[in-house]
Amino acid sequence: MAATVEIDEANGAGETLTHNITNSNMGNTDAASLDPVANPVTPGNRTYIKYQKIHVTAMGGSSKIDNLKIWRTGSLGGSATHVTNARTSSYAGALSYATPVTSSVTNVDQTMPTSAPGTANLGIGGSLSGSLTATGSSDYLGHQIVTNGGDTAGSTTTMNYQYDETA
Amino acid sequence: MDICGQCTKEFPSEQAYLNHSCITGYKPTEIEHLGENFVLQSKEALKRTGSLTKTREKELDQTREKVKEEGIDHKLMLAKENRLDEIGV
Repeated sequence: MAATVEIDEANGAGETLTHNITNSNMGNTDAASLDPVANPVTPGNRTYIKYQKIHVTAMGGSSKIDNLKIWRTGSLGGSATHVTNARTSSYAGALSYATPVTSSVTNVDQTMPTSAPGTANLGIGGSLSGSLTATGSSDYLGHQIVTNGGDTAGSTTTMNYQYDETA
Repeated sequence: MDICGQCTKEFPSEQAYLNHSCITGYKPTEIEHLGENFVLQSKEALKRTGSLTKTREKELDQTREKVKEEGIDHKLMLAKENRLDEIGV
């Protein structure tokens, strides 16, 4: 058949893992599927960082999952920026989980691509050339919106998560 | 702790999460659980590596039809909109 793959998000001091998230709403609280209207970011501040990963729950007869690519399509409001640890070169290894914060996080400093990168930008086992040959997860994807004082609320964009599958 | 993003149930371990039957009627390890769009994404993921054989394509097409007939995407949409009470969940 084919592998079964979901996106998971970790939150809280205890690294509570929400499997198969339905959205990646960003805001001023640390929660999966947060309500951005109830938890808006004050312009000039950062959202809580999101820690997400690609989770293969079944191989479905396939032998390998690799070449993970993450990007965003659509514009952010005002002059906000979107930062991430995902990068196609000089990858810093697997991002360690820590209780999500609204301050900057080490190595989560690359601009989120706005089109599919040419090569993998999220690792498996700490390496961009890593692969999953059995059930398991990718490295954590960390990402955060950095707003500016003049930004306005309400922008909506799409996160894209892509993998290759070998039979 | 592990939480299912679809039915919002909490589990003591990942294995317990993987073993539960969700609002779709399937376990998270079953491809039907992820709906029609995921089946299409799987085909693309296999195609990129030259692994989409005729046999696999036929299997995935059959799964896609099954998912449509069972209204899995409707259930997933209700979960996304926090309206599971409409189907008695």
